[in-house]
Amino acid sequence: MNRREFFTASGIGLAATAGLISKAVAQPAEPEFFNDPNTRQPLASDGRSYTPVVTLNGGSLPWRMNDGVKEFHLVAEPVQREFAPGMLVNCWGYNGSSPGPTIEAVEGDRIRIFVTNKLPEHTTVHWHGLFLPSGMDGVGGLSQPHIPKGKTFVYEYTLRQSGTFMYHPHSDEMVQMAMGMMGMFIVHPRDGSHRVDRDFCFLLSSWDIDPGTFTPNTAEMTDFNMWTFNSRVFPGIDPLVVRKGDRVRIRIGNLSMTNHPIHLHGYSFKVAGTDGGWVPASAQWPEVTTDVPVGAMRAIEFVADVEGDWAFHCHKSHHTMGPMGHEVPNMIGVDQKKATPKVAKLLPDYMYMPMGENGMAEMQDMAAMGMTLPENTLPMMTGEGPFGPIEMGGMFTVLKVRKDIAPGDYADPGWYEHPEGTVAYELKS
Amino acid sequence: MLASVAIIAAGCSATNLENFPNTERVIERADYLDRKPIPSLTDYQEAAQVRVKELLSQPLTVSAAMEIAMLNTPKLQQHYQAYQIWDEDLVEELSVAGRKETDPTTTSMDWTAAKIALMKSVNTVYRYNFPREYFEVAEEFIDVGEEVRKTYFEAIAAHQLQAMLETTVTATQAAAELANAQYQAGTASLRSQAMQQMTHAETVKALAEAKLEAISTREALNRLLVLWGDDANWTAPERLPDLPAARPSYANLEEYALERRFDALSERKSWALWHTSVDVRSEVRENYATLLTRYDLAKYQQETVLPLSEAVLGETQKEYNGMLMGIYDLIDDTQGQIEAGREYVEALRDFWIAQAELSQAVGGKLPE
Ligand SMILES: [Cu+2]
Repeated sequence: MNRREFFTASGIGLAATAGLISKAVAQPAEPEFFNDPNTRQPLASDGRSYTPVVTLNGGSLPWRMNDGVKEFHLVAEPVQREFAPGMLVNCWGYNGSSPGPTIEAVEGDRIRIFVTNKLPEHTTVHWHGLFLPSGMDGVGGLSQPHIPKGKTFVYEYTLRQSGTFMYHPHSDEMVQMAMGMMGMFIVHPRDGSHRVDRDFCFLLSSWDIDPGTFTPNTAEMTDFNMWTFNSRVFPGIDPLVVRKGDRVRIRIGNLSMTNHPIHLHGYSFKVAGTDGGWVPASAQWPEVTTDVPVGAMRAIEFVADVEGDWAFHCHKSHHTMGPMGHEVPNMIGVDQKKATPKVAKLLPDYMYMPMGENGMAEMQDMAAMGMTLPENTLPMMTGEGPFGPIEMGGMFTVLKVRKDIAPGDYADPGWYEHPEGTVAYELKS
Repeated sequence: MLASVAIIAAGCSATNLENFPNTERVIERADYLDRKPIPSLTDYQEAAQVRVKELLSQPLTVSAAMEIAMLNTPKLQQHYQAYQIWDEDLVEELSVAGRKETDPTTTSMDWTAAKIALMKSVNTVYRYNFPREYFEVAEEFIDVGEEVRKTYFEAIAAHQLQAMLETTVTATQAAAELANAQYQAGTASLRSQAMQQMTHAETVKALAEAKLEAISTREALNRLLVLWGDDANWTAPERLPDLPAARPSYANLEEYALERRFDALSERKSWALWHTSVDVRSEVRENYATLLTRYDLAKYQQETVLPLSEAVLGETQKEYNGMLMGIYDLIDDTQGQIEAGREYVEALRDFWIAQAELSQAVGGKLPE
């Protein structure tokens, strides 16, 4: 029996194993690892009334009950993360993954989190947004000693609020966050309020990974080239699959270095929660884009009453692109006919094509034609849709709303089949 | 004041038209010149001319250049005349030796010519009784040989370097044309347009210098081979001979050089005036070390640096494909590759020159 099955069976089932632990604080459970980038099925709830979250291209960390305390085990360690097929990144993360697994619990829970440091340097974990004793806040040097490499520290506190939170290091923070160390921390209301049918969560991050390289440059402050939802880029980000009529929540945390106006097509939504908690209904207003500031969380909610494939993305257009050169000369409208034969003559073994004169859309065609890119480098724009190239990258995915999806089914239903006469068409002369 | 006026007056009288020869006197003189018989070509000159034309009908190899030098160099012809071997038989003998030289990269025609001349003199004239003069004559042949070899490789290399620089000019011209097009489309400033034109201008100037260098080295070779008129229009191979696959290796080169330079041309082994053996040994060691270093550098450029420049260009192409780098980066890196190629040609030229110098140091001919 593998550990995951054992511990994820259910919170109630696990209570029976508590008797095996002789002391209140025994050794931590074997950690669960999240090495593959697929979206996992949500965990079962602990028996109370809440909808467990779906972590995009990740999952929630199983816990065990120990004398009434929910125990989690995080292992901080170097990991490899596939951003999308064709690009593997040397990150630092937790339990085999960047971001780390989502920690999910219920308001009022007593939790104990073991943090084992397998990084090459010390670390800490800060529980971003949670109300807790100052000594549990995880700021290295300020609230606790740094966790030396090879050591395990224990955090233990009671969850006094519900909402959307995050965890990340507060120890060599710039490097460790730029390397991908972060995770979601979801606390469900104890009283069953704010319950939705589908509850998604993910983190925003920014990376500087030069073309042809594998490891983020952590010294970069502004000039990033990879923009991710849960350390994935389009078309590597799973769709948000929703049944028609579902009440949907999407929780977004921003641990990147800039703000992201997150935009949903086809609907208006309301921001129902922020880093500070639930927004009273009287203070919510409808919108289609919400700016998620740095270090903040937003939980948006809507009723998915219209079927379709709806784009869901950051509205900064550079953030929905793969890596691109920001120093390339501007060739819009530049007639390259005269120079082209000369350049082709200089490069007899290379299929030289002048680029950029009529825009950059040709780039995806060229990629399709098999023009090679530097190793471990994704095209600037990519993705094939039912009507042709989608020409996106980075922070872009699709909300798929269908009426014939079973509750709890998150499998990709494929492209939307539009009813007759509902697709834009070419005017025939 | 008076003195200078006098000088001017004297000058005037010297150019006085009355002092110029009149028409009759001019005709008289021309008649005299016409009647003066033009000396007919000797058998040697006729045979040599035929052989030179034959050699020049093919792209010029170093061995052909050397044979022409052995035939045409006036100071060597003086020795042939002095030894009374200045005849068509000598031309034939040299051409037989020349035809045996099948390796297009090396030649020992200078050594062969010196040997023929000196051996014949032993059998015929006995004029040179003193070994010192023997060696001086041999040295003249070998000095001509060294000059011809070096100038030959310089000329071929200069031609090749110039041709490669023409490709660089194509590159900067393409960049300049793109800058013009960018300016016209409104995506580049006058300043960046002018900057690209400046870069192009630099390579245009460099090409003019390279062309002059090709002409100068070619003319230096023409002077050494005493070629003029149609004969000066010889064609050269497009490229220097390739670098030998194997690193040169000569055993006991110092002893070989001493034997060749002291003994081989003379029966008299006791003579030791010409060079001290210490000098010869040192020269040989230095020239041999130079040859090996030049070989290693050329090999390094060929096997390491050139592939590196290709790797850089290949990666730039991939980044260009991904719109991660621009067209100017791509053009720059083609120039980088051409420059690495030019450095290889220079290294190869220096290797062949080092080989010519070592040949001279060991007496005109390297061991097999
Ligand atoms: Cu963004």
